[in-house]
Amino acid sequence: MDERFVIGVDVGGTFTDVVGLDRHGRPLMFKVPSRPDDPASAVMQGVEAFAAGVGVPVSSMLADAHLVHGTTMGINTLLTRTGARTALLTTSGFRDMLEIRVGYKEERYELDLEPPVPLVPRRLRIPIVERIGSDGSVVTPLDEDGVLAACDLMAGEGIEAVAICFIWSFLDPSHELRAAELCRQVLPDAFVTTSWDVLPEIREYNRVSTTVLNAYVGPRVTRYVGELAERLEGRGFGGTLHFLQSHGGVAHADEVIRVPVRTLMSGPAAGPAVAGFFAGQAGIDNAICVDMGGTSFDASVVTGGTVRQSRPVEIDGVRIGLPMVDVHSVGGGGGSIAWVDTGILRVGPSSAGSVPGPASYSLGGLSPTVTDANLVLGMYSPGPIAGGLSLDDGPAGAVMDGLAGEIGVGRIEAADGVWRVLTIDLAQAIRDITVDEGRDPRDYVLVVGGGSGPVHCCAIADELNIDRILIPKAASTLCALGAIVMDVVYELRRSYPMQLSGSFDVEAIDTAFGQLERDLIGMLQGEGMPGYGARIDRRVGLRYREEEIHVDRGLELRYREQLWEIMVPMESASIDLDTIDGAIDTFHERHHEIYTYSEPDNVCELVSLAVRATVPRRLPDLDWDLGNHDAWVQLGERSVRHGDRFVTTPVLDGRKAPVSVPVVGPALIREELCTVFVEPGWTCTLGSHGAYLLVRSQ
Amino acid sequence: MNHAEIDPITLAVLEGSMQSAIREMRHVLVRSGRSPIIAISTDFSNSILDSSGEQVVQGDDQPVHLGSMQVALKQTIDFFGDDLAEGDVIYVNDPTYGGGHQADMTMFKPVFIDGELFAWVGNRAHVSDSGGPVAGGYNPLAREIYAEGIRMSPIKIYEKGKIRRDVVTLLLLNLRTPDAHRGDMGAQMGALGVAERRIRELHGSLGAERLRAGFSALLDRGEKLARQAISEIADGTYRGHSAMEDPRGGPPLDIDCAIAVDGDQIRVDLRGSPQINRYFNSYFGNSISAIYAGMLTVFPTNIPHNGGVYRCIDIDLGEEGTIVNAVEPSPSSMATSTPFDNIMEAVEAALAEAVPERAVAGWSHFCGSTFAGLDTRTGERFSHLSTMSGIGGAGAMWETDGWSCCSPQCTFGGMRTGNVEEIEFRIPMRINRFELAPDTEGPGQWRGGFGMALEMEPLEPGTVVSFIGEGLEIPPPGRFVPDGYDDDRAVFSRSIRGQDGVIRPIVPHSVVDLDPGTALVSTSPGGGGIGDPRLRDRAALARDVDNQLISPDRAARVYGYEDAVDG
Repeated sequence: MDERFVIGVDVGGTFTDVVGLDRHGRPLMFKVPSRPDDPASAVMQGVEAFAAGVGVPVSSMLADAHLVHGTTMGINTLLTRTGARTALLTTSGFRDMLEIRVGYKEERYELDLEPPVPLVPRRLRIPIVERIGSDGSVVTPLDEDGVLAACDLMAGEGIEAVAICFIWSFLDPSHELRAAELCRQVLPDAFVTTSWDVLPEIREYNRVSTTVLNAYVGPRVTRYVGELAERLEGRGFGGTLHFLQSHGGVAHADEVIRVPVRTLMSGPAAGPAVAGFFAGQAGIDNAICVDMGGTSFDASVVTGGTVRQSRPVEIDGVRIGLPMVDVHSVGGGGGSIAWVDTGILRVGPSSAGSVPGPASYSLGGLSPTVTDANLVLGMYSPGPIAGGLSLDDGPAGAVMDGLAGEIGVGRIEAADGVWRVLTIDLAQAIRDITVDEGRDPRDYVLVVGGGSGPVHCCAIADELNIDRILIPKAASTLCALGAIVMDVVYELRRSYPMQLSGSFDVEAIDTAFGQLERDLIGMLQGEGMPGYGARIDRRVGLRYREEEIHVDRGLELRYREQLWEIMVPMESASIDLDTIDGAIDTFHERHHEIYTYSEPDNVCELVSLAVRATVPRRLPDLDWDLGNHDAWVQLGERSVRHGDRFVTTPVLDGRKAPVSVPVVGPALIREELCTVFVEPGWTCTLGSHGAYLLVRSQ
Repeated sequence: MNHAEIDPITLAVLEGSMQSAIREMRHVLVRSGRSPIIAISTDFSNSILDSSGEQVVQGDDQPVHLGSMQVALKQTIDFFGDDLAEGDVIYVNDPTYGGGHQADMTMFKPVFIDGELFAWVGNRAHVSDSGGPVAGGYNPLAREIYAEGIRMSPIKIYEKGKIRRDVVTLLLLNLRTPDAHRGDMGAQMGALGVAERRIRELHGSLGAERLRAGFSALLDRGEKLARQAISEIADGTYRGHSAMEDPRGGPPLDIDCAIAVDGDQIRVDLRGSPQINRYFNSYFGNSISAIYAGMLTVFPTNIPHNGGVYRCIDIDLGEEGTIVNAVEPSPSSMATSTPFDNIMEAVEAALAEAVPERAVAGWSHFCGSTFAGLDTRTGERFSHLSTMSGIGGAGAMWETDGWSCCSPQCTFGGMRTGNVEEIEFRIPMRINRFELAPDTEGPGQWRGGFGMALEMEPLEPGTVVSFIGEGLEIPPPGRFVPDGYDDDRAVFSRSIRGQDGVIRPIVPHSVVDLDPGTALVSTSPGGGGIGDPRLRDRAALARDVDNQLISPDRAARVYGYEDAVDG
């Protein structure tokens, strides 16, 4: 096996999770308090804890370690609007692309919603005279004096980051690149980025918004990467530093410095990856990953081993055109508050959070929550839980009585109602990300994480007719674990819009693919991008051997007149009429899957070319340290609500769970940080891969 | 069983299932609709109705379809009487049967359970073509409804589960794009199938009595929420007016609205000028939807769009033969925006008197262009209805400025302009400018959104441009703006810049040929403002001046802003 230590880091709001593999492939997990003012120091603390855990000096552990990092630096910068002072250079006549949002208001029935405030005010959106035509020709040459005048204005304004996005620049980036060169000369300290670097694809709104966001978060994210690298080197680091990317793979720190906006969904992107990993270990290709904690329920989908991505996406009113792992989040967790909305019982979206928390925490919470209902229904037992908290059934019963009085039913029926309404809402969240693409949830295994997920998962699966559930024992540090199991993935896409009819130029496509692939391999081998002049940090350099790199190519196609395209793989490395015809056939099939029809006689349009390089993660067989237990250890028994009655349910010790010994529901399995509720009709077995597998037996 | 016995838990389960059904109907239409306007612009609505035709739930889809299916279904039920059976599917588009305009195709299916008519499922979708002399349906030259596409009274396209090949063939024969239309019909039917299946499941799990009581409880809940909101309005009669430009060139036509509030009931009397022989006439179904859409401003955002709410609103459209209660042979293809937007505006003007704190200032109407011709890059003909050319700014409300570049109220901002690059790839035009037009906002303490400045030039000779819509003379009205401050307002201004560089205005509702070297140059109006412009927050004003959206001169003159020069 690989002799290097592998360390996954997930920086959350409260805790920084560090998961490392020791030399036996045993995952060691550490939680240290996050330091929002100095996140790198919490990371270093976690790394030191791991070194101590494996009994190796930090410097020798770090000498050749592989560190993979999930960071919320980018997303927090956006959400708190604390990014750089940013200016935008754009084609004259189009300075308002950011503000006009292709004319669309998503929440159309919210009449009094305030118009969004763009990240760059109009004053700093500077029109530059230049124009590339729709055929890639220069209609109007770049006005370099205009760029220099803009630089003067930006210097006077103390601009820290410059985004450059011109119309049709992906067909000819020379104007953008020249403008960037001038900006770097005049403003040497500014972070300068072009749409050619960030998203060289058709649709100027996606492009300008993503490029601006890249500039806006760029200085903070790159500064953090530099600081962390420095601290690591200070402790003898000689390995590789990778970051989780929004698209669901990991990439070298260099790539973060080049396009920092690619780390925007760095945290949540690990969810589906780790779900896919556990499903894969169990021999299953299709997984729905749900993560349910105190306030939210996050769902994502892995189909055929591929994580569902979506684009464009809107985050906090900002359009992002890069592909991102699709994590669908709805309000629904243990702290979600139940209330009556003019005759209808609702659960969430507001949450009691962790302070004051559910009434049963006895911290002053007076609202009935899901956790309180679960306590009344017997799924949880009163007494101490994780985090130094304790559940008390007195206050839980009292708030549930209040709700019951409002509804006009008894305490149990009210708690049962909370459970049923929540189940329907959460099942709907899963339907929303499967049926819209024509997928059937029954073809998936449900992979469950978070503190509340394991109690509710059988009910959700029953509602969706899903008959298999996986619950990793490491559910509470899934994201840090995800960092370890994720592949290295680099992706480049470029638009070459053309109709694939008549005598289209197949050689142009071949040439374009060749160029794209060379650029991609260059990135992997640390040569940077052609035309890209910013700082690439070579101190933490890493290079892959060519035979490790697996390259996939794809075409984004659509029918003429359509506005959405579908990515289809190129099955063969050679690009000719036959292989493109093959891709078109695949497109018709995929179109039929998603939209229920295809039009084999219609003209197809090529929108973008994509190349993706994957360096598969080589992992040792993980040793989950499951001990050597022959039989389930029963801690007691409880009366637990199932359907319309209470059933006597054994409480089992998850920490001493035997491998491969099935237990038939009803059963409660008490884990350190959660409780698994195996409902009647389900059978649960702990697998050697460190996850419970629940199968519906009827 | 009385629906009072339906407890909040059962009702939550039922409502959750209905919402889920509506969402799944939406997915099916988006996934399988063939007309781009269905699949991409999502110009459709889905609905589940009880056996009497009262709408139990409607998706948050197009405002222009609000309550419309209830109206059309009533016509359908009256038409067929007892002649309905399990497996029937009904199709209807005619404005005299509750339709909006012919391009909106409505499909209904009765749900029979145990031999009894238990519920209805329905949807309405805007299709690419509805026949007639002009592709796409908007025909500025039509003088009669017969020139606006095929007219369908309620017809059965399936009878007892068997397709009526004779009827469907007749229909498709009248359309330019029969294959796409067959696909759209399939999508509509697929969506109805999803809803029907959900109703059958609920019938199985809850039983007929409880499900019926549940429908009734959902309707009553909508009514209760609406009555609560209405009873907060002081009793009295409130009046509103909207002027609609006469496409024949005469003085503006009138739309008057009187809203009488009596306790928790509202009566709306809508009157209009005599109908005209141009495409701006609204038949009753469209007018009723416009009234419902205008009324939304007094209800909470989360109010269900169901028949219970509509029980609280009595509507009288006055005598027949007016622009708001049109009869044959009036053409009406523009009705879903003009006078839909004008009717909403009249209702909102009356409500601004009744509930001033929820007042909405006027939004820009739709006034667009269609480009057509030969694209020599592909050798094919093209036709493109340009949203970009037709939209302006949204109106303000108290505490919030209007949105800039926002599609009109009949869509509540839900229509996209598209990207410049996409449009240039699709049609042989070059867009030289599409950006906010300074000084177009309606002034106020909260100002309207800004309109747009557009310049487009044809790359092919003989590009045919036709101009449709309204808003060329009358700006979107402000509310509570003192006299004299809302006078100098932008309207749609459209002209052609010739090869000689001379700019010539365009005759409204006309068709012209353009050649390379010429350009369409247009500006759209911003939305209306609300309140006294002199009370506008000075920091907000300074931002607008700083951002070159309001000129220092206008800031000083209209807003009384003295620091503009320093800004």
